[in-house]
Amino acid sequence: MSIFIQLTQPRRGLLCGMIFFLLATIPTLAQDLTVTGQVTTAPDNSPVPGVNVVIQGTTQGTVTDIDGNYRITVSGENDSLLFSFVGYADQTVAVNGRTSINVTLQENISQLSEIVVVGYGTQRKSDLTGSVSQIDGEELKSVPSQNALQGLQGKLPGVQVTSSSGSPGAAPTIRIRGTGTLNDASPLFVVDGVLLRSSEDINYLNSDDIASMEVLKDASATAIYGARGANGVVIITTKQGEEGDARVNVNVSYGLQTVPDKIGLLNGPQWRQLANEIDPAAFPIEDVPNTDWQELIFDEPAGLVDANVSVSGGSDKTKYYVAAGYFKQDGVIPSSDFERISLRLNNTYNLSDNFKIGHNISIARTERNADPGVIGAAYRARPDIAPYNADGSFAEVPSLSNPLATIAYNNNKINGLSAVGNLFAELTFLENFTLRSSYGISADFNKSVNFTPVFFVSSVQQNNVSDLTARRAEDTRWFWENTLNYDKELGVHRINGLLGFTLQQERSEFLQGQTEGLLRGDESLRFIDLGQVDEELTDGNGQQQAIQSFLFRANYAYDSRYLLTVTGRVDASSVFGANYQYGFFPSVGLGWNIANEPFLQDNNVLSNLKLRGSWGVTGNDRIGAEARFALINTGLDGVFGSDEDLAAGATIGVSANENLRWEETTQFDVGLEIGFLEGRLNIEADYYDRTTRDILIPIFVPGYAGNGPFVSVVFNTAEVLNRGFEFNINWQDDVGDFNYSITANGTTVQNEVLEIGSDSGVNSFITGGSLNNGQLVTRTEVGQPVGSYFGYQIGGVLQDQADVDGSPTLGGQGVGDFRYVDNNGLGGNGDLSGQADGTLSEADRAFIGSPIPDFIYGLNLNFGYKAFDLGMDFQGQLGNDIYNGKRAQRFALANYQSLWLDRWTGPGSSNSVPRASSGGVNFLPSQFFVEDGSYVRLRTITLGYNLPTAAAENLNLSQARVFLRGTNVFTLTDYSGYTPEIGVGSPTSAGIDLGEYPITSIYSVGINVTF
Amino acid sequence: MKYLKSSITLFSLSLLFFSTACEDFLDKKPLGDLTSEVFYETQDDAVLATNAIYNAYRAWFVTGGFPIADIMSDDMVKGSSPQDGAGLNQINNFTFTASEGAFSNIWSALFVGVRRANIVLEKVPDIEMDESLKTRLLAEARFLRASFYFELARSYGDVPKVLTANPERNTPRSAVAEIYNEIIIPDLQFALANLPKKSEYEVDDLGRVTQGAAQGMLAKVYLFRGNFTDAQTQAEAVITSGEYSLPADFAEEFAPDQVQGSGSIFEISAIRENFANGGNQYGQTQGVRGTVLVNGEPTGKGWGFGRPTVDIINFYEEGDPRMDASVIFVGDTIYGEIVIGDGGTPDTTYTADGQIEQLETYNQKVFMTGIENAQWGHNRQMLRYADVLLMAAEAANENGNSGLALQYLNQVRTRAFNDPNAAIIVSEQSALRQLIYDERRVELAFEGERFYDLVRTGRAVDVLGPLGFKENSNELFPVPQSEIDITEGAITQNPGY
Repeated sequence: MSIFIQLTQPRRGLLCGMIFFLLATIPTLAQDLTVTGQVTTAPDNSPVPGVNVVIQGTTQGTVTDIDGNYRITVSGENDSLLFSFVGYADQTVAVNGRTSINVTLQENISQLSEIVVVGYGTQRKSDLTGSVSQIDGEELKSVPSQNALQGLQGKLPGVQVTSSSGSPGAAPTIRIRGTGTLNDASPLFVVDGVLLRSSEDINYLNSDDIASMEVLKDASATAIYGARGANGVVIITTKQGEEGDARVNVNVSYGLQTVPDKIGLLNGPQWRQLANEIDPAAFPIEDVPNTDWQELIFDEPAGLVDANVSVSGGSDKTKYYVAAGYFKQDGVIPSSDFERISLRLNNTYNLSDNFKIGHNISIARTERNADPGVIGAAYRARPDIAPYNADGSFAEVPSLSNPLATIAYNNNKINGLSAVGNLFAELTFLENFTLRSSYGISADFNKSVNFTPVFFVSSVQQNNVSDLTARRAEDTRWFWENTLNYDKELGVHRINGLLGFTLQQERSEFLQGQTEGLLRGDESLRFIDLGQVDEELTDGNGQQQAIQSFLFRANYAYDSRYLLTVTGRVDASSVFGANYQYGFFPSVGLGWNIANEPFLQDNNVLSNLKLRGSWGVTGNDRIGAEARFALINTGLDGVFGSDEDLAAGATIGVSANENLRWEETTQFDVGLEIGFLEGRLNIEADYYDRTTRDILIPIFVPGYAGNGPFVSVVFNTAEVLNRGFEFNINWQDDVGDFNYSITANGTTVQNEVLEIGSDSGVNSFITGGSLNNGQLVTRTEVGQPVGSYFGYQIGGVLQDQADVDGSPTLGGQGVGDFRYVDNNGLGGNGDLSGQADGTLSEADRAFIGSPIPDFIYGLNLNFGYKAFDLGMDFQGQLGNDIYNGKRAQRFALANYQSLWLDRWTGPGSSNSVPRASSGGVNFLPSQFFVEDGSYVRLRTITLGYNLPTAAAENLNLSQARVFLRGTNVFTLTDYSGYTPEIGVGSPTSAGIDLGEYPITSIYSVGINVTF
Repeated sequence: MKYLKSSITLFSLSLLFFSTACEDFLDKKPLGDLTSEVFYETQDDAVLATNAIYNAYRAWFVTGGFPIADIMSDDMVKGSSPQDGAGLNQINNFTFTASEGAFSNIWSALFVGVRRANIVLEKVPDIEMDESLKTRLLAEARFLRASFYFELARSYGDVPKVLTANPERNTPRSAVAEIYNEIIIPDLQFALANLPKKSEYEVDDLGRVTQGAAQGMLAKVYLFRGNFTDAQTQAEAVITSGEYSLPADFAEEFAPDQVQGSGSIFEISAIRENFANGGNQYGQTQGVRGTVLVNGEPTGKGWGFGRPTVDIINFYEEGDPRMDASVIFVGDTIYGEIVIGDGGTPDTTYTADGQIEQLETYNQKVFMTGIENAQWGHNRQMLRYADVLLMAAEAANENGNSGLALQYLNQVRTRAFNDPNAAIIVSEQSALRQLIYDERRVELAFEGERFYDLVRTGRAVDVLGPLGFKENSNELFPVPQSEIDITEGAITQNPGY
């Protein structure tokens, strides 16, 4: 039973544990007995009449009376009673020989009255008019990672989580309902009321401390966050103590990480063969060394430790949650790892019946060795070069670098200290009013020391003088949030009102020093003081911003049937231009709980039926703290005097845009929720339509404005649409001792640029996606998804000279080269027709792929049988493309992927891969480098075993669980790189693989003990 | 109730406090950077802002990154190696379009100067400071604005009239006459009335614009407007000021160590460093390509753009020392440094019929001795006394005073040849006119004047026609296509483009 509750009602874990504890202590009694008791409901312990009480597996039963009391005779002490009532979760209680069993029904967690956290408060899920997805903290922990967002992957509809890198300490990228801007498209993160900007900002947070995570998706839910809500909001609530004895939870797991799939590359002899075709004289094919650089750079398996201990409990006066965590992840590449120690103290103190204060305070210390970035080097390194010279030194990889040397000379350590917390006071008065004031601080201090010793591997891989860069950065914010809440039930009317006033200030600064020629390389001597040059360079700068907001929300529910939510927020921000200091962000949501209509009251099929819709406006204020200012450029010196001395000069730099303002998203959402068969089957589906206007893009300004050649100023002028469907289907049931649940979710995204630079004429598209070799492979243009790949389409390989002569070609193309598609012919009306015009030029380039998936999905399966549980999470995406840029980078004669084994070697030999060449005409941006990024992955599989109660009891434990877990066990994909998850850069440069640190498979064992 | 009262009181007080402090709370200045709102407050700020205008003149793009106007003349061809900057060939042979980057670079860079001058003229009047210094700074700004606008007007014709730091987005072009009459001439007249003489500046301020520079610029402006009376008056004002004289040796005016010499009226000083530290890439762009032996060590000097033509080499009179002082030939020894040149650049090229087409030559006027960033230290001469004398000669001749004209002309000639017998004695007006033109060509070769002189005097089609010059079109640069696009057509194009 406990397992079942664990799986389906994990938020009530503590309560369940207590029931379990109580049940376990009842001694065994004889057969044939009469059981009596009272059934009450959870929130207020009011008795419930009319509850069905049935002996499980039989038709015998009774109904509770007006006071919620019942009386039933069971035939055996091992019988179980099933309590069921509409709107509440079924509850099965083993009699275990007792004569008195009181039951508290929980409101049905999966449907009607689940409580969800919304902005500045909580709400019954049944009263929501907005689209909010919730995930339990327990579930987040199913992925061992320093960043809790990893646990979201594949779990919630509308939420796309992409590992930006497998490097320990790297934070994932998260997109909610598509890519809503060309700039920073991250959602807002709210941790216990502290507002954070990016997924990196929550690296300090220990997943073990998280009670729940709510993702607010539509405008009805996000508008309360106004100018910061446009890309969705992730609300994270940390654990609180609950009334009762001290409860100690210890949770330890240890895992080993491996690289699941290596990239297929040519081996030494194969490479020589290919190189020979390029330059026959230079590459003899006898006695070729064969080096597998991937084998050499990976240090597998790499360990991962996650250990947490928490103590929680409380009285009616005080509740506490005290926790400590240790997380350490080694990298599969040496000299990359991440370590975190986190401490947390969440307490509340009831000073009187109506006044309480509390705090949520967390301190985390992190240490990270930044990864040496050798994936690209190992990919490129020639396999016909032995890694070491005879004397043991690193061998030269001609014109490229030896990745092993890069690893050996990498010393880039980043130490972080994060303190995030708040103090709050909450006063209830006049029965219905609650006044809450919360003051929070978030402070990040980062110290990085990057040291490069003197070394020589080759003329292109050497460092003559050692370098040291030491940097201190601090980022501090404070928040003061004051809300007044009004809650009232008047017969069938339920009213809730919220007024708030908040202030927030942020400031970041850095100070950096650089020197050269350190006397020693020891870690303890890596200080600027030890540099041996005259000039030590220093640099320092800062930024600050402030936001002041008024917010309100009104919820009205009539008879739990008709729902109305109106929210609004006024944000005044220091980052907005002088003409737009204030922004107003309204939303309206409507809901209809059809299942509560009288005409559906008596049906046995539908347990929930709700229709909701919302409209609203939100903003994205990440436009840069100083973007609106015309800053003074210094260093604009004149030269005067007979001695020709510099005379300091300074004046206004680039013009300011006084009209700079937030990017504005208008979102429309319709949702349908259906529950069948007493909540066993639940379906939730939404259609969303988000249009973001006034997206900031740099626009060239006229030269006569005097800003200089090639200068652009940011303006609010682009527009992007995201729309699609999302759904979540959950089925849960049990058959005897076997219980299971199946949850599937999916999201479709249609992303389209509606407008670019309407104020100008020349900026009809934005070019991006640098491969660092001079090539830019994306184009963001009206009618296309943001950051689409742009290049030549390929129509095979030119087979012979006749073929070359008869085909339009680019200069320098010949036999064995790609047949690029000629498609820019004009139709009769003078428009592009997509037909050939007989010549090939840059104008023939076309859109050849999009990094934005059409469909994102997840499938979660959970099975429980007696003490065992098995969970499997699959997730994947469909329809996105990856630009495999590392294949196109040819900085020198480098290694090739195995697909080059199928290259063209003579007429008829290949029509898909061109002749052997390195760079040049076959390496222009084209379809050749675009690969399908669709994949499906077994994200986690967990097998758990809960120690039987009696055994646990003997050990003085209330609960004990051991588990085996595999993470990222396998990934089915056609993509040829390590992982189809590509670190998302800016939205205009997404999905480009230039050598991603592989995402590891993790196999772990863990134990979770509560006493 | 105790908590209730105290909490509500606290809450209300806080709200009150913050609602009164709101304005300040949102007033978050950038950290580590000054903003325009707080900068223009002190006398130092005024000086800094004025210095920044001069800085704009040192920018590479002021001449389009290359000696564009000279390449468009018969004095220079593109130069460098054939593949380098191949786009410039279209400028060489007048096949360029309005999208050619050089024209938008020149346009934008000159307007940077205009903007910085406008900022000073907008902000400095309100600064409390020494009034005489303030007047001087304003006069400097107006001189420089006029100078930038003069370059714009004679290059592009009609241009937008920008008299503020933040012009309207779609400002149309104004007639060139309006630009001259409402900006350039009044600015220079103000500068003339308020700038110190060269000798009145502290030695540390040498290089700031002077009354003489204003007079000289005004003379040139009048010349370009065909107002020979005022041109003569202003040129003679420079001559009679006693502030300037021709150095005895022509080459001395361009000697690497020459700084604001006696023959220099307006000169942009530069230091042998990169741009940020005071350098000017103008000299490096034209510097000897390939190798120069400095103390026997091979050294690179520059890219070798702007190659003196065979035409001008042949144009120098026999024995005119200005040829050797203006043109570098491979094998020359200059100030002890031996020019080896560039192996990748053909030394000599021939036309189809066997005539010499190009020689590997370089502009000696920008030559700087030394290694590393030496060429960046070249001081670009914007206005020389010799130019003023030739302007005075031209204006006097047009005004019917050939005697006076010859006097001015021969000052330049006899200095160049260092020989009183080199003096010209022709007094017939049109013959003398041509001689003055010819003298301008050799005296001012590679100083960016030739193309404009040819256009100004109506000779462009005759002289440049064989090089591809198209009448009623190439007299003016094309307005940058990007400028037309960005303003959605509010800025219009010149004829023929």
